[in-house]
This record gives sequence, C-alpha cells and structure tokens, in this order.
Amino acid sequence: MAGYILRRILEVIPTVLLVLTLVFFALRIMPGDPAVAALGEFAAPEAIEAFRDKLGLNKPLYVQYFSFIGQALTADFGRSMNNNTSVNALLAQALPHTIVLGLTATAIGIVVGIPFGAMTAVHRNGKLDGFGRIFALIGFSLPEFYFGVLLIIVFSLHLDWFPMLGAGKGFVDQAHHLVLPAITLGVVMAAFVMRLTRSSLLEVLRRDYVRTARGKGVPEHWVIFKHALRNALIPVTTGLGIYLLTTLSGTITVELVFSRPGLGTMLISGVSARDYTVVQAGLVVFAFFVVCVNLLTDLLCAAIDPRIALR
Amino acid sequence: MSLLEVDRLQVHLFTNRGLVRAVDGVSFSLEAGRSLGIVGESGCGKTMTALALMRLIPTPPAQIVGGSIRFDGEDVVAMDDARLRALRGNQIAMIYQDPMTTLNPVFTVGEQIAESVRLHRHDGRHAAFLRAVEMLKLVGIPDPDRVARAYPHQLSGGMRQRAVIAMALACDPKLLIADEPTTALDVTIQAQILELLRRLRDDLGTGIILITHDLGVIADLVDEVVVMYAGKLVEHAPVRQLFAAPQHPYTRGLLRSVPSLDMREHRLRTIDGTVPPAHAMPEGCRFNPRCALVMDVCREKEPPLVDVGGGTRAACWALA
Amino acid sequence: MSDIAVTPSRQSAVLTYLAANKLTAMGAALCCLLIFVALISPWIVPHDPLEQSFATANEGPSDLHWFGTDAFGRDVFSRVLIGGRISLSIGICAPVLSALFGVWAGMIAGYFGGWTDRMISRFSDLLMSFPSLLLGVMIAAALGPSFQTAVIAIAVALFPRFVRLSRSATQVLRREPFVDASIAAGRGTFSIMLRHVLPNIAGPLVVALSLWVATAIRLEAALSFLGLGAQPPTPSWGNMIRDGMSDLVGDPWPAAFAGAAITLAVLAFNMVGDALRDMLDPELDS
Repeated sequence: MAGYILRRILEVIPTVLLVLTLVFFALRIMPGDPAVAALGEFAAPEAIEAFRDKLGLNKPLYVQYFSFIGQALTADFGRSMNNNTSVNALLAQALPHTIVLGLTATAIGIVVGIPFGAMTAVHRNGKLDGFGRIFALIGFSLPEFYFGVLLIIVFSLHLDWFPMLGAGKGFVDQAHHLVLPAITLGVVMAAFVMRLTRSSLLEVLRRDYVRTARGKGVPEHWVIFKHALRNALIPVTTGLGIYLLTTLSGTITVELVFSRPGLGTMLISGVSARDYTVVQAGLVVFAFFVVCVNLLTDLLCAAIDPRIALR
Repeated sequence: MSLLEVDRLQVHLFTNRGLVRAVDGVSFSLEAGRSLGIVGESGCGKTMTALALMRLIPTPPAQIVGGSIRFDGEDVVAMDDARLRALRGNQIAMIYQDPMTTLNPVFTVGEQIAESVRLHRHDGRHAAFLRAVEMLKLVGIPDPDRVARAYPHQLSGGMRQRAVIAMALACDPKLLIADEPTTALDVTIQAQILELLRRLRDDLGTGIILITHDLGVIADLVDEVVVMYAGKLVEHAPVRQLFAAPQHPYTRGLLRSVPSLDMREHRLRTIDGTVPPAHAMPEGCRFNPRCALVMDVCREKEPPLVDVGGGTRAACWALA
Repeated sequence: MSDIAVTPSRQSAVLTYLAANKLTAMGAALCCLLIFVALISPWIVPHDPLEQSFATANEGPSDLHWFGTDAFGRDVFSRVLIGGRISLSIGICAPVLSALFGVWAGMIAGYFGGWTDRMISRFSDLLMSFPSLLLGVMIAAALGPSFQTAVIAIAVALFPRFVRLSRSATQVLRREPFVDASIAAGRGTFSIMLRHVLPNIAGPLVVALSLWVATAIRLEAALSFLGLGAQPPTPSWGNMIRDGMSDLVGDPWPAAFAGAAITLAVLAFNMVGDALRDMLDPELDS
C-alpha cells in the first residue's frame, strides 16, 4: 500500500510538468500583444517596450519557459498587468469562495446521490426508481448555469428567500449566499452520482458473494450497505473523481451566474481583459486542482479496493 | 422427526420465454448426521433445489410456488425473514460452486468467517476472529493466522474453497449443503476437498447434502442418493443399492458414463440426446425422448414414484 | 453485395426499436425537428432577430412576441430560433471535427503500438483528465473568443474520447488474421486502416458521435454564456442567457427561454444517444 501511494505520487511529477508546459504554450499563442492589450492601442512605443521588458516578454522563449515553471512551482504569479495588484493576493481572495462552493456542492452530490441511487437500485422499477430516472434525465440535460438562473428567478426574485448576487460578509451571510450556488451544482452532481450508484449496485447485487452474505444470515440492509455497497463504491469513486472535476469547472459558470468573486470569475474577467498573468495563474491553479483530485481519487479507490494497491 | 423433510417442493422460474418448472414436486428427507447426494446433469434443478432449502433462490425470476421444507419440524417456506436469518449460516450453511466469486473481495477472509460467528453467537470482534482462525485450521489451512488476514484475491482457488467451508462450519450447523463444491477446482485439489468433506462428516457429525453431476464423487461420501432429471425426482435410493441395482433408465445411463478402473469397454458411454429445453418439456415422462425402453404410456402420463424394494423409489412406467 | 443486404434489416431493426420505445422515438423526432427548424429558421422567423426597438424593450410574452422581447426590444422567439442555428451547428460540427482527428490518432496509436502509442495515449489521457469546460476556457483564452474558437475548444475537449474508442478497437483488429493477410498482400498501412479498421468501428463511432452532440451543445452554451463563444449581436442560446443575466430582475424571459431551448436540445440528443448505446450493448441495465 505504502509503495503504491509513493508510486502514484511520483507519477504526478511528469503530469504537472506536462500540464504547465501546455498552459505556457497555450498562452503564447494568445492573439494580440499582451502589452498592447494592457496599455491600450495608442500607448507610446517606449512604454510598451518597457512593459514587455518588465514582464520578461523580450527574453528568449526558453528563458520565459523556465521562469514560468519556477513561478508556478513556487506559487509566485507576479502582478496583474492591468492594475498591478499582486496576483497572489487576488488568488487568496478568490480561492476560498471557489473551494467552499466546490466542497459544499460535492457534499450535496454525495449525500443525496449515493443513498438515493442505492434506494433506486434496491427498489428497481418501483416508483422511486421512476422518479430517479426523470431526475437523472433532467440533471443530465439541464446546464448548471441555466439551473442557477432558474433558481435565482424563483427563490431570489419571486420568493426573496435567498440573496441573488455576491458572496456575502460574515459567516451567516456567506452561508446564506452559498445556498443557491451550492444547490445548483450539487443537484446536478447528485443526478450523476445517483445513476452511477444505481447501475453499479445493480451489477454488484447479482454477484455470488451477495448470495453468500445472505446465506450467512446477514440482515438484508447489511447485505446492501456493507457487502454490496462497498463493492459498488469502487466504480462510483472513480466516477466521483471525474465528476468532481466537472463540478470544479462548473464553478466557473455558476460563479458568473451568482457574481461570486471566486477563481472562475477571476479567470474569465482575466480572459476578457486580456490580463495575461491573471489568466496564467488561474489556469495553473485549476490544473493543480485537477491533478490533486485525480491523485486523491486513485488513493481513495486503493483504500476501498484492496486489489488495486497490489496490481 | 427427521432433520429435514422436503415435501413436493415446487420452484417455478418466471422468464420472458415462459414458465419453467425448475423443481417439480421433489420430496425427500434426511436424518440428523446422515448425508444425501443429489445427482443430475446441469439444468436438472439440483442447484435450484439446494438454494430453495435455504430460500436463497433469486426472486424474481424464481419462486417457491408449492410444497414444504421442514427443518427440525419448522417450515422454511413459511418462515418470516428474522427466523430465516437466524437459521441461515447458523443451522443450515452452504458451500458454493465457484470459490472465486463466493467470497467478497473487499473483506479479509477472517472478517467474512467471523461475521457469521458474530451474527449468530453474538461473540465480540476478537473472539469471533479467533474462532475464524480456529476454523481455518480445522479445514487444513497451514498458517491460518496469516490467511485470516488475507484478502480472497491473495489465495488460490483451493484455499478459497477451504475458507468457504470454514465459513460454513463456523457456527456448527446441523446441515451443510455443498453445491458442486469441486467443479471449479483442479483435479488434485478436488480430491483434497472431497477428502476434507469426508473427514468433517466423520468428525463433526454434520448432516450433508452434496449436489453434483458426478456420480463418482459421491460413492463413498453419502448414505443416500437422489437422482433428478428435468426438475423431477426420478430415483431415490441408498447409495450401495443405487450402484448395485439402478432402477431408472436415466440412472443406469448416468452410471454407465462414470469411468471406472475395471472398465472393459474402451469408450465411455453417454446418454443419447440432451435435456429438452426447459420451456418445451415433453408430455408424460420427461425422459421419454431419450429413453431406450420408451412405451406409449410414457408419452402420455407422468410415471408415479413407486417403492421398488431395497429402500429404492423410482419413477418409471417400466417399474410401475 | 452483402452491404446492400444488411442495410434494410438494420433499418427495420431501428424502426422496430423506435416503435417499442416511445420515449426514444420522441427524442429522435425532437432532434429532427430541432435540426429542421434551425435549417429553415431564417425564412420562418416572425421578426428580424437583430432589429432593435427601445419602444418595445423588456416586454413579457404576448401575441406579437411569443417569448417577449429583450433589453434591446429584439424578439426573443426569433432569436431563440436563429440562436439554434449557432448552437446546433457547433454542437454537430465540433464532434465531427473531433472524430476526424481523434479516430485517426487512435487508429495510428492502436495499429503501431510502441512509443507512438505511448505518446498519443499519454497526450490524450492528459486531455481526458481535464474537465471539458476547463479545456474550453483554456483554448478560448488562447485563441480569443469567437465561433471558430468554440468549435476548436469543444473538438479538443472531445478528442481523447474518440482516440480511446478507435485505439482499443484497432488494437483488437490488429490481431485479426485478415489484417495480416492484407499486409502480406502488400497493402499499405493507410489503406488497411481505411478498408478494414474504419468500417469495423463505424457502429460505435456513430453512437459516440450522437452521445457527444449533447455534450457539445451543452459546452457551447457554457462557453458562449462565459462570453467565449459566438459574439454578440449574433444570437446563440448561451450568449442570450448571458445578455439576459444583466437584467434578470426586469425581464427574466430571454434567459428563461434560451435556457429552455438548450435543455430541450440536450435532452433530445441525450435520449437518442442513450438509446443507441443500449441497442449496441443490450446487457447494460436491461
């Protein structure tokens, strides 16, 4: 097990380098001169030259590349091109909002999705299963940002139960602001987790070892929740990892819907303002999340399924 | 009172292609500490019978639609779930066909054996684990302490089957049902497992029902034999009687297909034809299309089960 | 030719299936309707979708404007119809483009194996590990927001799915004796892929395409909602929601109707894709 964990962590290193390289080159083909974008089309040539110098855009590509890798690895992203604030400070403001939103949504997805999915599998073709089918169909088809808009129209505009925009101040207010965006992402995730749990559990319930458990006189709810569900959770965990990433990228649109000042909002405003350093930092941080989630998923799977670590 | 009395048991399978009478009016009984073999080709309903004894048949599609199963005087068919759970793994335990799939891959072997002990004897975690190790030792596993901590995928097929047997015996059941316990194993391992069952029968005095398609397996392991064909009981006899004087043409066919050391013929005989598809059973005796002694009555009416002496019952018009 | 003999029975199998599955039939009909309406929309819109009129801005649904009007007084119904052209054409073009490259990359990886395979698989696994929307945002950030960017971004996001599909199929086929026979007969690699591999993966490919159309429509909507897809004034369902967001309090109708259109389209294509997948693999959750 320890060997597996170590091996899996070591595997992250080339992935991180590859991702950083990808981000670097993606941004080099960004159209337009970032200096012109930052200073305006009518800026003096000397000013533009000085700007390029300061950001190191005049240096050879490989020098830029290594300094970028260095920056990314030491988590020092320089200053915003547009207003000269430290990108790290911007990140520090934005990150908590995104992380809290992502985690809350994931919690909703898991807490609703797994039991709901398990129940639909146990009472297969029953009323609950039919309801789950419809719920899933809607969840798969409704884009999360549109779902957010609908929630705003109903719960903010008409019922006035929840605030519409921003992230709020203080714990209670922030929690109040979190409800709708978290539900938006969480419900969509729950639909996915539910279907995955259902099909995975149905598969497992047909296995011989489930019969063995019944043959030992294990009570039916234990058969399902101990013997079957633990096995069913192996594919669910993998799927959850993938879906966690979808939820993560979903925070981008949902933050925009609810005007939450998170990482997604920062990234998108960076893109539209052509603020090169901000975009760079945003993408690196998102990529970092992706690598971390993939790693965690694999480790979690190994913890549930004793066969993985030995492969 | 017998330990087990099965009376006109009927199990039906409700499939897309129609109704299948998987077990059709099978009756037999077993005294405590005795052993019984159920023999037949695959698809004859013997596994379904075995699973029905513990009400483990997959419902749907299968369902017990008639008859009774009396265990220690109590009807298993009519039991509520709680009573049934108290019986399973405690009074009646089962050994399954394929040891590669009968153990849960995410729990250690020890945990899985200890689970029955904890459920039925309400032992603590540690006591149950010790019992598991003891059981593993009983079934002849070397280094039982280490094996108890291993996951199923770390063990060979033979070791897993021993673990399954240990699990079945953990609560000293009165009845052990073994459903083709050696079919999925290598020949040398098969012999070892059969030897183990023989020893356990002698040492523990557990009643055993052994289900197999291989008559050679049961000759010195069981006291009585039930032969099934297409869901019907066709012959029921003491084991010596069955080998010495088989009554039903099907039983004779089965015996001829058993290889023996003093075989004069060089070729193994098999029964001509195959078992008819379950949803297209012939009228009358179900064996009639394959029977060498077929008469007109065989195609019209089902033969009754008659006592032919020597403790043998058989269902054949030639004997009636 | 055997092909001719096979086609009618396959068609009738599809028809039998549709008859038995009303929901799928509805989905298929809805897909056809959506595509048809998108094709003829320029000729059937009741109003000019770009014509502004401040006198009639932010009106709710009425007999004249079925879905109401937006902040510029433009007719929302006409904009939803025209917007469908962008959304659906990206939704269909991007997976096709992606399949064009992905299938070849997968076939090359599966056919040659070795380090070619490792390079291609490594790259596609990397893309696969990123959520599609994030990849889309990354590419849109690099190329600047536009219609073409959205197509490329979605195509890149779907690329690894097609690589995976054709790679594993090719690996299996590569071991078939008829491929060896073709090599022995002196047939070139390219021609073997074209003659033997491609026809064999056509079925799963069509299913994958239909499944990813729904994903592509959803992604396009998200990208244009973020302002990274088709640019205003050209209406697309995503940017209509974006525009509608600026005055949700005063007039929620444009956003609501545009979003309903996205949901309907994704739902329809999902239904058809799922049904096709079940048909190919009836074991799945029968």
